[in-house]
Amino acid sequence: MGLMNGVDENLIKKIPGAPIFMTSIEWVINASRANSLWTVTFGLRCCAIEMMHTGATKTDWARFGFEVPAASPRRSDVMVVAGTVSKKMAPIVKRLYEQMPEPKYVLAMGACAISGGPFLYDSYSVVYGVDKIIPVDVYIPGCPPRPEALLDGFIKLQKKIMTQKFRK
Amino acid sequence: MNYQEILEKIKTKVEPVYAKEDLGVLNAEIKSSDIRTVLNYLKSELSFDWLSFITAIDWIANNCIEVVYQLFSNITKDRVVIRVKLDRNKPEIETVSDIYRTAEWHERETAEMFGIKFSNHPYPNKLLTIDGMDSPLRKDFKCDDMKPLPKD
Amino acid sequence: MTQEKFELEKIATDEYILSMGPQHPSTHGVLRVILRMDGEYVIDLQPDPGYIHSSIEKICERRNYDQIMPYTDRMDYLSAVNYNWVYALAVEKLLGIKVPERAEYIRVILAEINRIMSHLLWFSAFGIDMGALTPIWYAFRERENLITLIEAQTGGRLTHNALRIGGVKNDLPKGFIEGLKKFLSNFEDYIDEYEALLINNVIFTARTKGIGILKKEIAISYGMSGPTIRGSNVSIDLRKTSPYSIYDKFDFKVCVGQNGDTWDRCKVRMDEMRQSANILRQAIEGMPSGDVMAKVPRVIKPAPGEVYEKVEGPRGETGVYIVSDGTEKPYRIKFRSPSFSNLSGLREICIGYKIADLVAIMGSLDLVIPEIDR
Repeated sequence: MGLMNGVDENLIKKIPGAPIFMTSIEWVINASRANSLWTVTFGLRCCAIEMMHTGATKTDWARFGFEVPAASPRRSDVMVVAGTVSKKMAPIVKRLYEQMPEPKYVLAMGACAISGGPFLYDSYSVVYGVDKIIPVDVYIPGCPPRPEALLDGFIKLQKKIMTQKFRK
Repeated sequence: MNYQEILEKIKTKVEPVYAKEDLGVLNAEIKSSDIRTVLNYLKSELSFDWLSFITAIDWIANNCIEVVYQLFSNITKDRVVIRVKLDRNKPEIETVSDIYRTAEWHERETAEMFGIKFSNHPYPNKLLTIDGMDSPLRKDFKCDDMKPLPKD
Repeated sequence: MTQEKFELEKIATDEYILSMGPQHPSTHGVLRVILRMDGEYVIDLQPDPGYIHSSIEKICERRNYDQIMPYTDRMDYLSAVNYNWVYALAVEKLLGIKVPERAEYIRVILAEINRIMSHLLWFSAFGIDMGALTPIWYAFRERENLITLIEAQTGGRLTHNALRIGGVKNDLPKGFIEGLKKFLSNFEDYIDEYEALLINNVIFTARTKGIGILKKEIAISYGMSGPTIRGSNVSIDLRKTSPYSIYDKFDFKVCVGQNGDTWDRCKVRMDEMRQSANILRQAIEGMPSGDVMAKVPRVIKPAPGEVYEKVEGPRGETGVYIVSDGTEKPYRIKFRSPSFSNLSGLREICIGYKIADLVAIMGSLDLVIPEIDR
């Protein structure tokens, strides 16, 4: 199946002599969600270029399943906020987040999206971190973070999705 | 042409309030009512066809705002800087956006950052800021959630 | 069987307002363009920038002169060395410092590498706008090679912070010149290949020839600069018309187009990459040995005065205007960005075309939006 990232051997039991294996429904649903994430291309500032480099030839994120950059929020799972959010842009970020269908995840990439970055002090028009507007799952530090760091953030998000539970 | 010759030519049209040379470039300060005459003359007669930018400086100690126009000529390679001082409480000046089309956006940005009114501008709306940020580049601008740099 | 002739009656079109919103895959950043359309044709448009306004000029009034250098490379992040260079030139002119010659050669090499990187990214992004998804893989392979080189010298992949006031911080590391020579050895062949792949493609020429014609007088009046104006047969290049640093020692030609349409602006950028490779070879040959940093006072306090300096960036005339009042922080600093003036003239070029042509024209202007909003 090609999706053996951090797989726990106890969850999969291969029945000897037959090409089937037994596991829980939770595992199957989580694995299919985690390995085919569609991103909203929301590159705002310099971090957008590093996001493009992560998708390009040297570090290729298509190996992990993030091949499709669906430009519209109505059919995507992940929003990668890459850049500074200003006060004029803040209502639009919130509206885009509300247009995404559940389950949805948010990655804050770069120092500007985590806390305001180099524009934290003495600025009158910057929102100090995108988690003041929308809930964030993974924070990726750096200014801008290297492509390997962004890939590491995505893999952590995949691990987080694999631990989701459906029973109360 | 060196800066003395440019100054003599400007003096044939209007009388500048003050003129000096700063690092090789002529800086001529004129009255705000003469701005259109001077810029028309510089563009048509002396071939200054390039307006690099228009901006303003807030001299809060002298209670005035100074508008600065940087001009350059692609043909004779000369440079000149025209300056106009305006009253800080009611700064108003005429637009030059029909002489140099690039002034349209530069005047919009200077107007919202310093609170200057450019009369007869074709589209005097805000460009970069939103409501609630009034004249942010003035020295006495206060904003509630602006964090000052901590002293280390 | 008789064939009936079908005649389409003229479909009535409506006028409506369309907002090509801030989140859009082909606006290259956060730019909103409000369009008034009649069917599929654009009648009027008004760009609405300001969605990434980060108040850099206000921040820089409260920082020391050497603390402003990292802010200058976050405005135009694709060619950070150009903004660093123009800022260093302005402060050095205020202080009256002369930069050593080896540092000037290193500055030229870093700036021309940045120019090639910026044009390669324009090439990929423009291909994606037109629907061609292949150029990005090739162009990013070249970009990765150049990024490795420039990261070895400056420490940063994208926001280099490469220069200091008075020169360059470190000399070139071991293996830099050999790596650069290896890159240049087959670069011109690759450019020919990329040109044949995209620029001379039949669909691309049909979509870009004759579209978005920019006339010479309008371009000069709107203050447009860089490849945007050079496509209209106007030969203004600040490296030749008002040479700064040591550009008068190099032999290169200014690339111009003939008709001023979108295809000419694209061809000018491909030719500029070849000229940059030419300048790089000459710079490697003629580099002298010596110091890389001049003697600069520990606390930078220029005398009261003001200065305006400009350089030729990949997008056009990049300038900085500093007013100093004798203290350690500047009293007023203004950055003149080329995309600001290039975008202000969009109305003149785009009226009357379809919306798909609007995407092609905006891509050929090569805008970087954080530079407009600062």
